[in-house]
This record gives sequence, structure tokens and C-alpha cells, in this order.
Amino acid sequence: MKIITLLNEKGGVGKTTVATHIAAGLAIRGKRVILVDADPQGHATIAFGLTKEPGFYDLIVRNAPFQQVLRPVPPERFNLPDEAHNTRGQLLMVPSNIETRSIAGNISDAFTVLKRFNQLRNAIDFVIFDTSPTPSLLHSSIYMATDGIIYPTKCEAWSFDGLRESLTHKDQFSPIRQQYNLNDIKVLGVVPTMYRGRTLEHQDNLRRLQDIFGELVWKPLPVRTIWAEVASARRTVFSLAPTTTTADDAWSLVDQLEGRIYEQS
Amino acid sequence: MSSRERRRKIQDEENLLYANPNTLDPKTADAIGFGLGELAMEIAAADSEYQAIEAINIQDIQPNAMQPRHSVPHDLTDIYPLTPDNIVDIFERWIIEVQLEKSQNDFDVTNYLLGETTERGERAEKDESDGSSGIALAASTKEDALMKLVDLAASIRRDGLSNPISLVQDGDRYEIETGERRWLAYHMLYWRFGDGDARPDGSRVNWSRIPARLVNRVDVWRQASENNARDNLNAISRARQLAVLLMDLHGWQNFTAYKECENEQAFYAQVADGARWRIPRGQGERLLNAMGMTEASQLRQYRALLRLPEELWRKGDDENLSEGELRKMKSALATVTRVTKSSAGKRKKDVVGRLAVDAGQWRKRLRKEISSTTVDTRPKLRRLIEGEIRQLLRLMTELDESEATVHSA
Repeated sequence: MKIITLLNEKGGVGKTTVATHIAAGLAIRGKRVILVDADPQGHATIAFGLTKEPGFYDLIVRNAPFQQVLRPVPPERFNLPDEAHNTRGQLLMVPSNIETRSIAGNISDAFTVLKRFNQLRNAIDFVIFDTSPTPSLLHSSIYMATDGIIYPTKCEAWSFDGLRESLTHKDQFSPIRQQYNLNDIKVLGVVPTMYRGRTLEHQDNLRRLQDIFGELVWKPLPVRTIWAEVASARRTVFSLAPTTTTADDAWSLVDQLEGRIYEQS
Repeated sequence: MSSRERRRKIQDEENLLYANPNTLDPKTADAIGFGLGELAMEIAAADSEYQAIEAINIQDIQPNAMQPRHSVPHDLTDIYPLTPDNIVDIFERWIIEVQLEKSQNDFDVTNYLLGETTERGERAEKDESDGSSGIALAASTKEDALMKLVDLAASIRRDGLSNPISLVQDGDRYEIETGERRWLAYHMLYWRFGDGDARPDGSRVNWSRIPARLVNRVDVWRQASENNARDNLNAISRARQLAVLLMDLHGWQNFTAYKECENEQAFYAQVADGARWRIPRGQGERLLNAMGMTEASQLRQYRALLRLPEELWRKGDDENLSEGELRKMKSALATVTRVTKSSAGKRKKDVVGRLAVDAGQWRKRLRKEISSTTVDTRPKLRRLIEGEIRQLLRLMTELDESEATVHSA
């Protein structure tokens, strides 16, 4: 089981969209995936038209069994239109609601999240965490659990600041993880989102990113209205518009992730 | 496909999805499991492993000091704080005190736990078959509380523990989230039968270990629902419960920790001020449900109990007085205090204060006390005080009558 976290301490950079599409893409390719909505907004939850209760808080604090909390995402919502029910993979979701905010104050040790998901290590291939932009103690618990992090970022100054903050916090956890014999968290990639290729500002900023992170910078996701359509249709781009270039862009996310994961192992 | 076409297509698909609720409604989807088959079973297996019940040594378990329900009378916990080492002392003293009260020494816990009927047992059974709760009121409250615990222990010995207690691990010790009385019952059984008791059905049990489920932290809401599901809480316990739920809603960091408070009431009284610690918007319904109440006015009444004079608080808890009784006593006590303050010296006030909480002998002695009080001569004030006294006497009469009907029943 691999645990992957989407992180950037700046809001509105596309964490949820990248998270839902990576999770859906892996599931379509036959993996058993859990998408955990760790953001009190619960937007990853409504991205698939699911109800917000019971949620992450129930799982972690109230110790509700996974059977009560995990919700299967209807294949119509994430899978390719013609193959909706043919997939071997499964996409399950841990919803989130306002209570997620209170998790941090109610857990006694930083390993709670890791312990909980380790229960499923043989049943599940991927756990994807979609996090909130505001750092909290819940993030610490996720830092202790995650194997790798993907940083979506806009090619704009404030997003870079959020990225820098996130990387600093990640580094702060390295010694703690070493203390407990955990591998260092792998940076799986930096995903430039909402990219306007024709503007000089975005071009310059992308170049700056590539200078710093080199190979780690994934192919940019251009800004497209279809992402908004996807959100109101409560589907993925794979099920809504599988033949568009945007769907190709989304697949490239999954490809690049799989590439990094295999390279890692 | 154009955007317009896509929108139309989605609309059609949505209609189709909604027309077939099995594929959309999350609850139904869960119920049919979406054909998860094998995966669903693996998840269920992981769950059952996680929720596994462990047998924990009763000596390693500490009660949760904030638990609203108190299972042991104050007099006893004043002498022996409720820790695993003191429990046998508490049991022994408890039994002695009950025997002294009854001026008899025939009470044998072991016999009772073995299921051999004692005179007391017969009476309990008889009362139970009458459907009256006479024994609870007729017997002293200390005896009543003890017998409830003995009954619980006897039923655990006979039928086993069907509902494991829940514990929070703290280093190599554990704190009780729910199940303090069940834990005390195990102590009682261990005290009488040790670790190799042969149960009526022939199985052998080691009473030093209690089945428990480990949870991450004490959830006061889970505690509340457990408390409501069991034996009714008395008014003071309900007030405590309301206080901890309010503290949970407002954030524990705003309050002084239990251990640092002067006494237990002082801890709960931190949220007594309803204007400062309002019920947060949107949480009223949740709070009412957790308290098992229907009216917001009840929340106010129970919150007011947090400010009871300490003596009344303890008396109310030990004798299971109702919220209404406590409210009357509080106002009576306040009146008496005021009356005496305006004329008499400190000594007299003390006398009345002490008498006021002794409900049984109230009326007679209060009359005497009040008639001997020289009321302030200023007419307006005098009328006011006399009015208070009249009301007080009316309340006393009511209280006496209601007590009399309970006794005669």
C-alpha cells in the first residue's frame, strides 16, 4: 500500500482536482484506491456527489469501523463511460465535513492516521490524501503516514510561497520520521496547474520552477473550462469527456505518478 | 463533442442515475456494496481485527475523574479516593456503613453474588415484581447504590459481560471512557472469588481481567450516549454531563483542568455562566439529543444546578434528588440565608444553613427558626421578607407532601 498526499499551503491551486483524478485514474487501471478527503470543506467528497457524513473524523476520533465510513464512488462518476462497471479496480472515499477541523485536537498521538490505514495495507493499493491549505496538527499526522507528496501549484507568486512553506514543513518532519525508522517522504512531483502558456508571467514562473525542481516538475495542466464542468457534473474528466485533450492531460498525471512510484521501488 | 452537447448528455445521465437509486444514493450503495465482493470482506476483516476486544488487568485501569456519573457515595471517596488500590477498602467500609445504618450485620456479599437469596434479595425481587421502586426510596441511598453494584456484579457473574468497557491507553495504564460501574463490579467479583471462579454454567473465570475496547481518547459525547442508555442519571450527574459537553463545544483549552480545581463542583461550575458560555449556534439540537432532553429551558435549569451550594450539590448527588427538589431547596436556602443575614449573627445563619439541607426535618425547625427571627422593621423590606417566608413555607409544605406520598406509596 502506498500513501500519497496532495499538499500546498495555498488554497485554490487544484489539489482536489488533481487528487480526484489521480485516484480515479489509478482505479480505472485496476488499482484499489481510497481517496481520503482531509479538508473540512469536503470538496473532494462532493466532487463525486457523495454525502459528507459519516466522515474522516468518525474514522479517526470516534473509531468508527471502515465499513461505516468508506463509500464506494459510483463507477458512472469516475470511470470511462463504456466501461463503467467493467473495472477491476475500486475507488472508495472517506468523506469529510466540518468535523474534520476538530480531528487535530482530539487525537493523542501522531501515528493515529498511519495506524488506522495500516489496517488495510493488504486490501488496498493506494491511499490518496487531499489536504486543506491551512496547516494543522492533522497535517502532522498525515506527514507521519505518507510515503510521498505531490505539490500542485499555480505558476504564480503566492502559490510558490505556499509551496515553499509546505516544503519547509515537510523537512521539519524528516528527523522525526528517522527517529521512528520511517523512510524519508519522497517528493513525487510538483504539478503546475491552471497554466496559461501564452502569458509571459506563467512562462517565466514555470521556468523558475524547473530551475529549482528540475525533473520533479510534471507536465503543466493548462487552464480549461472543462474542469469547472467536471465539478458541476460531479464526475471526472475521464467519465465526462474521455476523448478531449484535457482527459489526456489527466492521464499524464497518472502516468507520471506511476512512473515515479515504480522508479521509487 | 461540444460543450453544449456534453451538458445535455450529462443531464440525461443524471436523470438516469437518479431514476435508479441503487446506483446513486450512497446509503443504498453501501448496503448493496457496489459489488465490492472480496474487497468488502477484506475491509470487514480489517475492522474486526481493529475493534478486537482485549482483556485488561483491572488494577491497570483508572476511572475518568470527569465522568458525570459517580458510582460511589461522596463520603467514601472523601476518605478513599477512587483508585484501584483503594477499592477493596471502599467496599469494606461501604458494607460496614450500610450495616451500621440498618443496625444489622447479616449482609454477606458473597452469598448474594452466588445467587443465594437473602432477605434483601427477596425484598428486591418482590418489589421488582410489584413494579414499584419502593426499595430505592425506602432503603438508605448508600445501601441502594451498593445493592445496584452488587446486582450488576451478580448479573455479570451469571450471564457474563455482554458489553465490553472502553478504555483510553495512557502509557502502561488505562483510563475508563465508559464502564466505571462494570469495572467496579469486576473488582467486587475479584475480591470475593479471585482468579479461578467456577461460574454457574461450569466455566472458570479470572475476574482480574476485564474485556475492553481501546479507543483513542475520551469522547464525552459517546460517554453521554452511554450514560443515557443505562440507568437514569440523577440531576447532579446530568448537570455534570451538561457541563462537560459545553466545555467540549467551547474547547477544553478555555477551562482549568479537573485536577487543578478546588473541588469537583468547581470544575463543572466553570460553565455555569450561561451568558458567557452560550450554546454555540447550531449545536442546541445536538446538545439536547445528547442530554436526552426536549426543551432548551431544561438545559438552563440543569446549568443553574452548577451553582448550587456545595452541601446541596453533594446531598443531591448522594440522595438522587430531582432537579425540581434541588431548585426548591436552593431557593429556600437562599431565603433563609437572607432572612437570617438581616438580623441574626453568623452562628444562627450556620444553624439554619445546616438545617436547610436536612430535608427530613426541615419544616418544623425552620418555622421555629423563622418565628424567632427579628425581621427588619422598615415596612417595605419587612413585607418583602414576609412574602418570601410565606412562599418558603408553602414550598416546604409541598415538598413534605410529595415526600409523604412517595413514602406511603
